[in-house]
Amino acid sequence: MLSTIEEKALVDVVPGSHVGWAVGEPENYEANVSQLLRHGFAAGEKTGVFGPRDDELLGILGQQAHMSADPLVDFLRGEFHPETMFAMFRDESAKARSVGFNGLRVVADMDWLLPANLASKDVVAFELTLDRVVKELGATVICAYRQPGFSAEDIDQTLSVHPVICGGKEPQFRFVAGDENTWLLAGEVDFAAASALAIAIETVTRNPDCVIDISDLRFIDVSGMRLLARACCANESLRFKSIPPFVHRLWRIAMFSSVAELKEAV
Amino acid sequence: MNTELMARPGSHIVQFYERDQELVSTVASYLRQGIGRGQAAVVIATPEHLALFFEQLHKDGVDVTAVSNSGALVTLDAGAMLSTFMKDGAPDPTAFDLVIGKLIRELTGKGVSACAYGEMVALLWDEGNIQGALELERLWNTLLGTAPFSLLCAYPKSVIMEDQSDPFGDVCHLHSEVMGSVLMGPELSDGQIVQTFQPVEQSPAAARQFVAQTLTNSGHTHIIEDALVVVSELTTNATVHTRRPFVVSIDFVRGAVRLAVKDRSRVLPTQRNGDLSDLGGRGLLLVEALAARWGAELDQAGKVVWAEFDDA
Repeated sequence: MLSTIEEKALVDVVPGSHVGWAVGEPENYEANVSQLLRHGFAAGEKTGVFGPRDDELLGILGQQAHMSADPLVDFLRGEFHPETMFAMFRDESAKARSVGFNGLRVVADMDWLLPANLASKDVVAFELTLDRVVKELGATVICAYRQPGFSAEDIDQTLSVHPVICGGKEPQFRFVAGDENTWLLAGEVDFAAASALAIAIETVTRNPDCVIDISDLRFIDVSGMRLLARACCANESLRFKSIPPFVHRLWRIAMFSSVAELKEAV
Repeated sequence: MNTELMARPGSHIVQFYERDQELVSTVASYLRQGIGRGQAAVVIATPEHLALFFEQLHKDGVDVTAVSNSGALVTLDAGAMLSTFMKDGAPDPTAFDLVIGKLIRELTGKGVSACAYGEMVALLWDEGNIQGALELERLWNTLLGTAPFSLLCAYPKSVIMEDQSDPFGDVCHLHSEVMGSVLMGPELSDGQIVQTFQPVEQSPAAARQFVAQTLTNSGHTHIIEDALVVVSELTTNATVHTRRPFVVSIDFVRGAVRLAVKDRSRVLPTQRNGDLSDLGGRGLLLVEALAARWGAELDQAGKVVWAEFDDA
């Protein structure tokens, strides 16, 4: 049988990736998840599958993984406690490595994992924290998003905060965790990108001393600069790294310096 | 036109087409993709269009008879379907759900997704019932939130040319994707290279791509960086302030490159010279600084905002 486009893309998922998967072929979900679990197994990872909502399918997939939807996790799903989820995740990762696994690999159906009607800013906040955790632990996490559980806009927004994506439209920009307290902003920031990026920046700047590396920013216009200016005003300790010359130039011409300065990190 | 449509369940895509052949090739490709992936297909169209779709599907190697017999392809007459739920010129939500909702739920009941194509909205628009068409789009959107299917709608491009371009803006906003932010082009018109765009937020990026490509082809790469900022500002303004389709044109005159954005509004842009401690405006500050010359003029249809970049 010929590989589907999604199947081919998922073959390329390497350990340590945080993948945003916009499910375009729901009828192939089982086959694609099985493939992901098999690859994790082959890479010496301890595998886990969470969701989907279809109990029968969850049962089938659960048989193919080391861990599956834990009754304790089910219980917690009644209320949303991301900190508890992340603590359990760190714990499981440490335990897995201590018995000889190369880390964790989790395939999560986000419709199952996240509460219904979670505001899109909270989905973005969750993914940004997850990104930091995945990097820290060297884990492999594949987040499957599908409609109608998530709107098309929500899915586009969440893809832009994943370092690796499968399916969906190529996001105009990417905002993901870098080393330590750095975040990487790459791509083009204009009117279309502004609202999604504003949510991401607002989330990460809740922590003081945050640095945004914009070496891979390829385009910005007034809408984009306005958003950065707002972020600077709201957060005195925000710093930028590797500011491209074109950004300094446009900032000066559009006179944003009368509102805020883009402070360079040392 | 991108014919490799990957319609995700939940998508509500609209296409504006000029000739029937454009419509036929897009719809046939969309249905073929869905059927090939094991989705159920629903086609609600005029008898003439249905015949054209089947002919194309047959040419593309789809055994239409077999797929229909298996129940995976359902075809319905758009006019007849409309009469089952239209009441006094408006679609009745209960009747719509009883007929269309029920059909979709039956097809997707056993974990199967579906791809649907409908032209009932276009028929309503054609007979002048614009509010009815918009209301029907809203009913479809409600249904899209409850079952795993995607919906492709099509309108003839003539709807954009009419004076009621505000309802046109409403149509775009009722869809998750307008097929390409590009409405038409690029094409040559009076010696200029032009492309027409929807008033949607992805259009400034599409306009930048158009400008970058054209200026690369014409050997004006040194101008591209500044031209992209200017076109982004002008098209963002056109999208946000006019909510109507607009045309971006590129012209090579007297050793300069001239970019222009034409729209249907008669409100001229105003540069804000006031208090710069707030964050508003500033787009025109960039245009003023980056372009060699710029201006804004009213014309018969609306206005033109242009900016010139010197070649040397």
